[in-house]
Amino acid sequence: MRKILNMILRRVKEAESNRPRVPEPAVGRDKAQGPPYLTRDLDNNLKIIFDIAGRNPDLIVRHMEINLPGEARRCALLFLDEMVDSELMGSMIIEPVLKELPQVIKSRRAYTSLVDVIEKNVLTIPGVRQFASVSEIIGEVLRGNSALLLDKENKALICANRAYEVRSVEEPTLETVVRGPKEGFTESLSTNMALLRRKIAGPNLRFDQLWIGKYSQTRVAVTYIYGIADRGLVEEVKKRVSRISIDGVLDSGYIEQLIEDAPYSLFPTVGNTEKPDVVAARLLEGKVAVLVDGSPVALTVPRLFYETIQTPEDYYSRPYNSSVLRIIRLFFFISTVVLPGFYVAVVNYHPELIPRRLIITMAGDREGVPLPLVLEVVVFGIIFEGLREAGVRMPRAVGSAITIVGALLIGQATVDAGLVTSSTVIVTAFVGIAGFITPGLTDIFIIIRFFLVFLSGVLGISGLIMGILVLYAHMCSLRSFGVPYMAPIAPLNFSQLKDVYIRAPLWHLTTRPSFIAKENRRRMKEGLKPEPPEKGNNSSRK
Amino acid sequence: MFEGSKISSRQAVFLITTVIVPTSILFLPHMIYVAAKRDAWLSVLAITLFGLGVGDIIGRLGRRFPGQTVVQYSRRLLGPVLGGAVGLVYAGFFIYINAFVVREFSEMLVTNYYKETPQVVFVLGIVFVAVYIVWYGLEVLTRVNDMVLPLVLIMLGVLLITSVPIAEPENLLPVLDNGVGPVLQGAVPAAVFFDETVIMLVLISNLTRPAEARVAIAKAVLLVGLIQLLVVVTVVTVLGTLTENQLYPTLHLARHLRVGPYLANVDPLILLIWILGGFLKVTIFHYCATICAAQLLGLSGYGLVSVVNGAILSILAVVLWEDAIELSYQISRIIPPFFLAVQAGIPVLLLAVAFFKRQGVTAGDRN
Repeated sequence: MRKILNMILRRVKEAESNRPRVPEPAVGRDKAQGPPYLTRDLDNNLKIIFDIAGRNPDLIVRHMEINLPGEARRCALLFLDEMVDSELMGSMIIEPVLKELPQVIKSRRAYTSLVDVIEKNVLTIPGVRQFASVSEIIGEVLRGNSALLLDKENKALICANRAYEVRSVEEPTLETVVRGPKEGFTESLSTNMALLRRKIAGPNLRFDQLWIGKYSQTRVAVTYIYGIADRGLVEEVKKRVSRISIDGVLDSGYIEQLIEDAPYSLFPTVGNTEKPDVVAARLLEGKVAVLVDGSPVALTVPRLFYETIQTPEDYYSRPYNSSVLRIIRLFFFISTVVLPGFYVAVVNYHPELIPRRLIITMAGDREGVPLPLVLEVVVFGIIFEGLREAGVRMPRAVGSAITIVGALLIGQATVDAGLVTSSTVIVTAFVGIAGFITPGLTDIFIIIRFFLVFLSGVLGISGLIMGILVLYAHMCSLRSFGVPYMAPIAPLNFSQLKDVYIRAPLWHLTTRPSFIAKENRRRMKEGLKPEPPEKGNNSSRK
Repeated sequence: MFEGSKISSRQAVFLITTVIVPTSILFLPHMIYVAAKRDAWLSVLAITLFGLGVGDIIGRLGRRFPGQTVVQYSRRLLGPVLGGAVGLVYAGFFIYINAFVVREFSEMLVTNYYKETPQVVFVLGIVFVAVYIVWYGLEVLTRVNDMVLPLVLIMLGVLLITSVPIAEPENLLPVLDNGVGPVLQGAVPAAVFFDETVIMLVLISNLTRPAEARVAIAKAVLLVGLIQLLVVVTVVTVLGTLTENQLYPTLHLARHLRVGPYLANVDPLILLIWILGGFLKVTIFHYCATICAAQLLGLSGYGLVSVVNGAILSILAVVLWEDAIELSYQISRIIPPFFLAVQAGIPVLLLAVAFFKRQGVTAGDRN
């Protein structure tokens, strides 16, 4: 038996080893390939490059000849169509090389390397570097830079004249504010890094660059403020990000799903935002951000639950406004999760909670309604979610039609026809609207809601309590990059609550959250509470 | 330390309070009133003192053996056979008392609110929540408690404050009409509740600073005593002699809660938060029972033990008692001596043995 098995295994292995291997692409930073270096023969070099990168129509070679004393040296400029600034290329690369280089060489008696001379004396373009490794050269060219290869030289010059179409900095669509900066990230990582630099100009803002994605070669920047962010946290983020081995990263969402702590949990443990000022604020708290090229959404970790009820405006407007709004947000957050279950429990099991006159109306409503209450709430909840999804996906032009159908037919007519009770419609509508208050969590609410509705339908309020306890225990068990998810609510830390349920005055928030920034905690001088000048001064000024 | 979770002394105070308060405010007023009548509040003072004493013994015991639970150090003190027996007693005790609590709560729910739902559904629900939370460990349990206990206390505060207008202080007079005897008699069943600090025999091993255990227990007992005193005084002043006929006088109080003409019949809401506390109490006991059993069996993990324990717990809770009357009779008449022996007697014995054998860390050693 074992012999047969071994034989089969050997066969399989042999077949495996005999199969022709598809050559792996050797582009970019994939050092494992052991990059061949340039030779001193231009044609050979071009052949090596085209063998790896393929003869693509957008990879353009511009052949030139430089008139050196005694010889006409061939050279080639390699670049991608529509990825480079051709005007810049003409005036700062081609023109100097063809016109000035012969004169420079003439005026000099001796030189060691032609490449050095071109880099130091001829090219007027700002960014120039020398490369010898073929894979690195290809990587740079594919990223939009142009490569200058010379005959009889084994080094190439990479000129940074990358220029491609990017979206300009606009106001983000998801996170809108009334007061505060309105700019949002774009798809270009360089732009995003510049946006952050403009917020935090000090030398401690650090970007640690990584390349993720075997084929996409996406630039990822792990961003933090040196001296504030916990060093262990930065290392952990870098470790988790560089662990990723994937074919392509098309959005920061890929990274998010591959570094999060609780992939099975309903609750996100990685934060995201489209606004540079939010990222800057979180960096100043000691968090770490991950920017991904091609994605206008930055990730921030650790993400804690209380961020759900925070908005950037909380810090820009005065403490009273922010505190009141936070409490309202928390209230709506709780009600969007709990209210349907509570409604079912009360109507089914504890009608004594409802005022007497109202209950008569409600009982009359329920007469003749086909579905039992639990199903009614669930079905109507699903219809609401469907309408919402349709509202997001549909073309703008038919928007008003959907609104009329949704509001008039589904809302009003179903009640009139006696298909649902009006109180269910009210509860569903309220809960649906309340769900929009915490944008990142809107989609998961429906699952939690129905879980609680089911328990309430079976066991009344005590079932609701069981569900809430199970849910809350789960939330308490989560961690985001080592920080308890519910901190500082659980484990309870009284001194940190000043920035959770309410937002204390700015001059009172003198330290960073202790569970995030562990070493460098002071963020503001004590006693900055603004006070009017002494009375005497005041009157004299009048 | 068995499970690796660490809790602060403040969290320990919260845990003890959660263990005692939800059931004691529900059952104690009636139990004490039956014996002590209008001097019930004096009984509360008496048991608070008693609870302080027992808590101190438990604290001293835990301080001597930092990082160890009662199952571990009783073996060290009394040898494998006798020590193992003590461990078995505690594992059994925690399961039994938990069955009691589970049944009490499901009984109260069924008789008052869900008359048509089979009791076993509630028993299974409560036990499921307990097993679920224990599966996450003590750290999560304490974090959940950090939210639940404040809610329970706020709810209680609302209940007490709204009862003030209808209270009749004359109900408390005359003081000590029947002498000290009834007062002490009333304190006996109540002592069982106040000695639930016995959970610390297991939980001290998880304290970040075991030396603070005694203070933490004392704080918790005082807090619980204060709450209990307020509840008993309110119940007696509001309900008067009616207290004797009510199995759950505090619930009766909640039914009468009225804020102006608008807010009435809110007792399910009050109940709601109450159940929260009750669930956590069951969870804490379940945690202790599970840890004791796992250590007794010499296991390195406790996940499976927790599930098995939960199954035993559910069966016991359903099978052991016929109805609420029997439950109430047992807890006030039959159980107290046995429970007191486990909650106070064995710790005193263990401490004495440790003292004479000079075992464990003593105050002198630490300095």
